[in-house]
Amino acid sequence: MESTKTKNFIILIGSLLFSTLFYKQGIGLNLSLFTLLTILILAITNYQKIIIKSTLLKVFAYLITGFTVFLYKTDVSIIANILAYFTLVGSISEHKSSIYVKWLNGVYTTIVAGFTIYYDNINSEVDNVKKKKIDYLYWLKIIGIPTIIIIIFIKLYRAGNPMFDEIILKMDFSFINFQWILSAGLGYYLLYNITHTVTVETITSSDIKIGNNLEKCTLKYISKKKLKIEKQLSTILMFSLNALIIMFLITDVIHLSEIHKMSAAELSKQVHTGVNAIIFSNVLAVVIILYFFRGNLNFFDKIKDLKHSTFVWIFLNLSVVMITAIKNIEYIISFGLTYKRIGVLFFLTATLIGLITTFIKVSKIKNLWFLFRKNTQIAFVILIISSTINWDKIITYYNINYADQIDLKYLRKLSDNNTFLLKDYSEKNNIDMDNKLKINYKNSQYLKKLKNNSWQEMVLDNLKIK
Amino acid sequence: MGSSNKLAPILLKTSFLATILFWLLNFSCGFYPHFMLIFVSVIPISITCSFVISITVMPFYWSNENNMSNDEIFKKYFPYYSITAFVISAYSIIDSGFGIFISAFFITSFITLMQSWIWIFKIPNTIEENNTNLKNEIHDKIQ
Repeated sequence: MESTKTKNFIILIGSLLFSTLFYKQGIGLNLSLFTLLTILILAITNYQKIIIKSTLLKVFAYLITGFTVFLYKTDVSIIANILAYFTLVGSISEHKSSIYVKWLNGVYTTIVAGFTIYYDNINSEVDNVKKKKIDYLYWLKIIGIPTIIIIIFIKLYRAGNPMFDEIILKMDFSFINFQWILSAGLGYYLLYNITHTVTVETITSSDIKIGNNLEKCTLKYISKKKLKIEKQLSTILMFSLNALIIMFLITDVIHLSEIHKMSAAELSKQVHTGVNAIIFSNVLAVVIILYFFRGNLNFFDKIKDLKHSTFVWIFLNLSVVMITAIKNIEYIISFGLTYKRIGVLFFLTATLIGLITTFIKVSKIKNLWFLFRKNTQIAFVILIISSTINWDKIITYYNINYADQIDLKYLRKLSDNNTFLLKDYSEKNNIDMDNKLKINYKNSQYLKKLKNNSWQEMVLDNLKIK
Repeated sequence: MGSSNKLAPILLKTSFLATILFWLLNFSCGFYPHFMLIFVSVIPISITCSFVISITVMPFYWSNENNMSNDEIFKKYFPYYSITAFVISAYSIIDSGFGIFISAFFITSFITLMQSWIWIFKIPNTIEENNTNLKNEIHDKIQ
């Protein structure tokens, strides 16, 4: 009972802070502080659950994204922060579940845990009795008495000290209105939900039951004759695909040696066509491998040939990824960094990881869930890491210092995170008047925006300006 | 399952809840309509509530093929229902550019729907209530 009261008191304080941070405010320092507040409240109310190693990693990820929002507020950092929040809440709900089940539990807990708990309470006789015993007098005491005493003391101090009186007069509490209280109510609901975690029982329990390994005993029996035919078909297909991809690679390597002679348009077309081909061929590669190694064939005696040819195929697909990466890097060196080119590198990394996890799935006889779990986990880690990078600044810095050609129009259109860098560049270099004027305009607009930021909306750049 | 007897008071309760919530949210945003408008609004709000609950929540109650208990139905379907309702509400609010009326409408709908699940799937907790439910169930089967 005592711990429930403490919990409620903490949530109440948290809800007032929530409203102070977010009521009629944009995103900035407030999201970072909310990250800290959430972690603090979870640590106090769910200490045993938060100290589990895997949950601590989620706390760390959430903390990083929260800090990144303050450093350079971008859409990626905000999305990563929200996703890390759901992951953490889901991890508090059930730390043993897969990451996508954690997201589901995180969302479910955040939006309706209060309703679920209420449903459980009204259906439980013990809690029905408890409900009748809510100690209203306690709440009246804990909120009412300190408030009255503080008001009395403020009145006394105001009479005794003119400076204190002046400070109290200057304090502006006009922001507290009905909407502000509703916003605090929303904060209370949110914090109550995350401190009383719930799970989507059906999915969570079946997810925990299903391991990562393919178990022979769970598979439907298939006769040896059928397996032999399937194995033959798979081996022939794999050998043919290997022969085909080797031919593709030889021509691609020859083509790669001529890359320097290509025009920008040709190289761009090459990279994009190559990436499209890779998307399709790799998805197809993984689907074919998953089909062959879906069940009994994994436990067939004479499967070494098929496994080896599959590994060769994975390796050759990795080579295709590498060659496309080289083309893309060459493209970046010549024509600078852009989001699209970074996106291609990300896609290639994801493909690389997908092929590696498929290799592990085949060699260690894992099931399909293993692939889903690991790939989603890795994608989440990539998102968190990429959210910590100030991409606009890096793109601008690279292009103005190393790229053979600079597209100032493109750089101007990036977010405000590159404004100071562009301004500095325009002052130190000879650029055309049109670009200079537009960079100055961008800079003045950004400075205006920063000066208008409330303390809740502050970002790191606020500290850089005088 | 005695649903017709159970549904009417629940629909009344949800309509009342929805009306209060909807106007409370509108008041908070500085919209103070004439008293008559609030009074008349009870009619469309009740119709909307009854319609939405009848076509989205009650089917879970009526189509209980495996003889699951109220608690089992709630635990099985409520999470997906609530997440879907949340996504639709959040999308509509964002899409409207956080318009006062639309936001108030969807926030009210979401809270009312969630509460209606609790009222509909609440396990009867007294012997009298259980007996009434049993009687209604038998009555429905005979008819």
